[in-house]
Amino acid sequence: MTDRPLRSRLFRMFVGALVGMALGGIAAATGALDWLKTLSGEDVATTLLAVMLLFLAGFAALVSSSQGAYRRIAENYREGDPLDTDVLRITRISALILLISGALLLAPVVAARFPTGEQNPVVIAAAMGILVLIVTWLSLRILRSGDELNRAASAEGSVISFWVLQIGLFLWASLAKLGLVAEVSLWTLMLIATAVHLVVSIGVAMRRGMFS
Amino acid sequence: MNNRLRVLRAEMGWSQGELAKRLGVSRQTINAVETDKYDPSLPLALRMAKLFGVPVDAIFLDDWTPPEVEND
Repeated sequence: MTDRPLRSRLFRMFVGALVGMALGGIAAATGALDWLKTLSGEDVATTLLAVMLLFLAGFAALVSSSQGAYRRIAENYREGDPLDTDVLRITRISALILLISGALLLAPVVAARFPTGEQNPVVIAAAMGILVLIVTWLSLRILRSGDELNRAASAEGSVISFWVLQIGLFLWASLAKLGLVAEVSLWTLMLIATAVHLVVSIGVAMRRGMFS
Repeated sequence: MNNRLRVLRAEMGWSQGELAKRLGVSRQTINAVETDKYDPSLPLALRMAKLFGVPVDAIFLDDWTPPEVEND
């Protein structure tokens, strides 16, 4: 794929947003989203974030399905260049990580909504523990096989995320102690941390030119 | 930090991807260095210098000059 100017990318994003809005409007009008009304705000946010991760997993799987697909679809590929070593393998591992992460995010919400027995939470927690270990192992593999730009961007994203979250948490906790704001649940905090890390990581990657 | 990587690469007739392969990094790393979005590590800078057969300061341009230190 050749470089696209920023205006073209923004236009595509705008069209994508319009199509998304239209599809959402149709789904809402037909009552397909009525089940969302029964969820709490944090569960709706969790579902949205998880769906986004699952969508990204599908996209990464599609991009890495073959060399031809990568050359056609990947934004960071330039016509005529050889593919980076292991790029398909790393993208496939990323797809798997995104898929498991989306499932991990959804699992507690779905399990709490559809309890099937007393042993259920323990089984789900054990399964989640195994999945977290797998994701950690896969993430370490990517970190080790990535080059220095990947490692630098990863470290930078982690540092900025930590700083933003630490300051934010301190301020919110202080305001809550003063009775000025409400306490928030652990789940909401986790959700905010995940979202902040995701946004910061994408911002750092863009700033470092990793999508170009 | 300003650098002449793009010029040196063009003189050799290499694409970003070809240079990346020779240096064992991703094309994004070469692109980030060329566009001043990333300063490479010292080992990578040294590898670039060896590959192009020039000193490191012929690739990376730094206008810093050491301050004069007064001796007592």
